[in-house]
Amino acid sequence: MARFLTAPLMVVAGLALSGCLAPNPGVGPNGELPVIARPYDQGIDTVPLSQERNPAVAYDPDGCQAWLMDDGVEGYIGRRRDAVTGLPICNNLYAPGSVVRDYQTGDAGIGDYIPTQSGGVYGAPVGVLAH
Amino acid sequence: MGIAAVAMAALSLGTAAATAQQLPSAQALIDWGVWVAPDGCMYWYADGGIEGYMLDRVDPETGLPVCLQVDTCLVAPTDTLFPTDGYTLTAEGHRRLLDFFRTSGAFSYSIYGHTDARASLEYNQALSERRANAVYQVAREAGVVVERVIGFGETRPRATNSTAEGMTQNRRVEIVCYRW
Repeated sequence: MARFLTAPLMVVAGLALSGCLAPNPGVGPNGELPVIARPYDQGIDTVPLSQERNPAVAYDPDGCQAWLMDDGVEGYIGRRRDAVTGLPICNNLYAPGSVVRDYQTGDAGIGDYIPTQSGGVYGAPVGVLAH
Repeated sequence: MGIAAVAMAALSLGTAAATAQQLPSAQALIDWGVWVAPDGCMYWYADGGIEGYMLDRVDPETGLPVCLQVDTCLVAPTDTLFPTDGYTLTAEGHRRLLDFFRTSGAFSYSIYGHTDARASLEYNQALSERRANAVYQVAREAGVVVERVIGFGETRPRATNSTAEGMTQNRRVEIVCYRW
């Protein structure tokens, strides 16, 4: 039941595995700027997102689609747009807030943590606008 | 002072203002990587340890997404679907499109109409819209979901309008497929 890890375990595991306990290092000795993010995973997930080919599709509150990937301790989401016009892809095939297909990358290393405090794991999204 | 001199003065003033601006100094760098979505469109991403960052890649000039390929699952020359200057589908054109919508398997579609550059802008705009709408009616008949129907008139040629061959390519209906 990796998806139902308790919160403290998740935080400890996430910090230890991702190797990011150091604070922001500031500017280097010769004025170099710190690189705060890189295009490969810095935890136990060694496969870069650039090789991920099967994102989920998430519906935003307006019914428009986004590509969604849960890559362990990071999550990524990007607006899906028509390549010809740049316009968003919006429809009512699913309710706003729906996630279609598996949203966790195959090599995420750590399962998703779902908070249970606010009204349980299952149910309708609270923040969704009425349509 | 002539118009050219005024323009020059304005230009140099603008440059001086830009260099005198007090810009905040950069605090950090992001080493962006590229993620390509299943539809070929590109996204910048970076892993910040326990954060992830993602941004759609856009063309700085047009604001349009940058995509490796466009899933136009059908680019139909309108000469094979409509009579010249007409917007009522031929029986063969109707049959082909109905078959296409029933078998292509996408969850939804967009339909874009285009013309060549002969005749006026207004005429071509109206013709492209009517032709796109005729294709939309077939999509409805097939019972598929259509995101949008747009006529672009002669504004988006895919070939030159100075040859007959180029104009034939420009007279087209594009159908973009959206897949899971």
